[in-house]
Amino acid sequence: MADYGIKISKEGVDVKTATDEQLAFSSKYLVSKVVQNGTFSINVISPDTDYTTTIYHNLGYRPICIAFADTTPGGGKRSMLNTHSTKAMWTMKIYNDSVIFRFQMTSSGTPGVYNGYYYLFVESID
Amino acid sequence: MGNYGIKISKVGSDVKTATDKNLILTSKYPIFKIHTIGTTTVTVPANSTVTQSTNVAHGLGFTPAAQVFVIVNEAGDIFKTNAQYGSGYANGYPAIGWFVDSNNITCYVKHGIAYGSDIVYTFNYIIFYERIL
Repeated sequence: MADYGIKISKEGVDVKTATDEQLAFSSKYLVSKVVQNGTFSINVISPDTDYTTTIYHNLGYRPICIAFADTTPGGGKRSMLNTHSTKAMWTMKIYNDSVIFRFQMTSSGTPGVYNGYYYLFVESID
Repeated sequence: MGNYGIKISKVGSDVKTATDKNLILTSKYPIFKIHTIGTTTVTVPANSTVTQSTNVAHGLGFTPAAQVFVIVNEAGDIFKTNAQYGSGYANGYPAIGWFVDSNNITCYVKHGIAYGSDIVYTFNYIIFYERIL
């Protein structure tokens, strides 16, 4: 690293001698920056059927994406994608201009509206 | 964005002209801030095939983004993985998972077959200040 940048140490640690782990921030390392975030929703009616919803971005490359979604309709309990259980499966596909969220419910799942929330980052996954 | 803030470019990039991807940091975009890092365990009692879970209260009052990793021991192969692991209750592998709501992170485990002794699963969680609900 060149001899410039910013370091912020954790409380009680001298920033001049702190190790990287003792820093709250260091410009030595890239941090993930949120460029877009929002909600998505899928109305699930039948088991063993693919449901998808697409959110668009204008980045022109495939960004890091993390997403969380309901495990039961409107339940307010959210799991991180990709996730699957005996009742349901959530997956996501990341493209240069969009992210497609896919949901499939098994026969033991519950129909209804499943909501989610996503974050896209400036950083690319390629 | 107003005409103020902080930008730090990568080595070799002019901060005045760098694209967003060539910036180490820019106050134009929010970054994930860690609220809590911690560990919890879920114990599956011997001969149990019932889902066992542990709640960890986060105290934020909203549903935050989080990430959870778990240590798995499959027939002596010990590894750590994203704690959304395995779906088959019936195939002998554990179904491991977690979810988050406005009060807790809940980590759970269910075995499809009974084991002769207690099994303890260790979950490492990271809770962020960013909300997902």
